Amino acid sequence: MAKILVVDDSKLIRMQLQNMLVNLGHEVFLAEDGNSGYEQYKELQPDLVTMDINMPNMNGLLAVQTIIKEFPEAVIIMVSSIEDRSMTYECIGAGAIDFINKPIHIDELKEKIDEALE
Amino acid sequence: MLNLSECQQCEDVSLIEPFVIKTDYFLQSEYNIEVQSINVKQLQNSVAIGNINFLTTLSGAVNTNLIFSFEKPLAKTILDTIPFIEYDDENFEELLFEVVSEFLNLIVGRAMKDIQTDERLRFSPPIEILGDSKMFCNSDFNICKIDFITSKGNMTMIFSTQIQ
Repeated sequence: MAKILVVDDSKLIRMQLQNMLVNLGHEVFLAEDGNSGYEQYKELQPDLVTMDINMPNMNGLLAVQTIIKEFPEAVIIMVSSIEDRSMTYECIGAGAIDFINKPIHIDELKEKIDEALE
Repeated sequence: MLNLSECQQCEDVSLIEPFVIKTDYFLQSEYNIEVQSINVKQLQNSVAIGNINFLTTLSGAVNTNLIFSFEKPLAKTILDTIPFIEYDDENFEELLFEVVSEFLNLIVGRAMKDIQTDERLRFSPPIEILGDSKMFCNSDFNICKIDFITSKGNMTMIFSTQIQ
């Protein structure tokens, strides 16, 4: 079981990811923007973060940059729509390790999480 | 499938068509909702909107306001098809609005990928339009309304472009 922080401004996506990850046997924590995601990361030091891109207060790219600067070992997977692809690659350039497509399918989520936690 | 060229007044078929194709595809393939017909209308200055409405603005190579308007039964059907979502009386309404907002993000993002322009297209975060069956009026705008009639309720896309 891994400790996973879900950062997303959509309540729908937070709920979906939380329920999927709990179903996969993980412990889940939630944050609704990049800023609170960064604060929770500092406090929880999770094994993995799923990060949305377009969020208020601090977007996903800035959140990745901020977390990686302080915690270079952080494991972050972006959750992105197809229109976010160029920024997704910027996030990977900034230290995120992979991305998951929206709509989210549990098989893809499990595969990416398992790979990331290996 | 709809032939948009039949709507002579809808000026920019190349802009509208990708949105229609993606919406039809997502409703039928991702959410298993039968689209019975798609109807296009050019309106002069006003249009009735439905239960759940979101506005986004496309900018860059085009400058167009786009409204997604959903009847509640259709939004509920989509919500029910999303796996791992549980709702009760307390969060049901909020999740209905969230699901329409996410639907708009998915459709607009994918449609914009298919629009060929020299200049990058952008769209603003969806803004909820409050109220029920309000009229959206402005005589300075061309309004193209596309109704998706489905077996689970209807949705409407409204393109509103300022007359040059």
